[in-house]
Amino acid sequence: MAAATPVGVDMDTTDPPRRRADRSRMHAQGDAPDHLRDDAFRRYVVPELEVLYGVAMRLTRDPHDAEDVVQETLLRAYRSIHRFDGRYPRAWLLTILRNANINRARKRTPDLLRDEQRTLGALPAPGSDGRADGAAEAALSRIPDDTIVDALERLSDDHRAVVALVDIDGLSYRETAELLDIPVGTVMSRLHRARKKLRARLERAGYLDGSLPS
Amino acid sequence: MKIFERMMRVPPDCREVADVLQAYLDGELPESKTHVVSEHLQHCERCGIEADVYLEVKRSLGELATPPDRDVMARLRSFADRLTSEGGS
Repeated sequence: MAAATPVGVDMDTTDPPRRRADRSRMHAQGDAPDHLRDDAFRRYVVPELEVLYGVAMRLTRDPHDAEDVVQETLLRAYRSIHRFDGRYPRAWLLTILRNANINRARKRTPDLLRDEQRTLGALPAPGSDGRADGAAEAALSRIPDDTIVDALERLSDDHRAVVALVDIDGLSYRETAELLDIPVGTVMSRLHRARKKLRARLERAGYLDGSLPS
Repeated sequence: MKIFERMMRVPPDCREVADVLQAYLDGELPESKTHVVSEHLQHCERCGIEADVYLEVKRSLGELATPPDRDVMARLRSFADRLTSEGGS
């Protein structure tokens, strides 16, 4: 990612002299003074903690590993935030998280690396906590969790990953592309095909009557 | 994208809407194009039903999301706090 404006700090001329002096020192040293680094970290990184942990859980399928990956991500983000331009912080962080997870995975045994449950597309067992409200509205057409999870598990890993990241974890196309290291167009085409397959399976299971009324 | 330009000039047909429907449902279309698709969906029963079906798939998937463990989040926030106070060393 290009480093147009280090640490995402506005470069206006109304800054107090101390900040301008700090910035000059920062450029000269290719690094950021601590208070600018801390400000940027709190502004761009800390608000993304929940998303990072959610994605790390999807990557690792293990709470302890996910926590480790997020800690490593935070550490790397803190150390490199002077090179971050302030645009698309979540996408930037997801790239760091992807690399942190690759490093973690390399240290694992081959058996664990081959474990299908540790692939990106693996899904955590759905729980009941935190579900969206609106049971009354959903009562008419609700698809049972086990039905949708079963349909998801039948998708290929590539298709399951984009659907899970976009529809369950709420990532944007750009963020999903960064995390998976694929073009946005590939995210879109995989998502389209994956949803068509999901739809077909759910229709065969007796849900989603998409026919026109007679 | 050519399809977007065409949609802005003339009312889109169902095939054009189908091409961008997923991006529309994901909120990934630019606002101007979103308006064009919304308009079409209001007047085209076939595309409206198609959109409803995919929205139901999205809604069902969204319900699988679970909130992160509170203790884990507290530890991660504490870790982040320590980084800023200790300078990441």
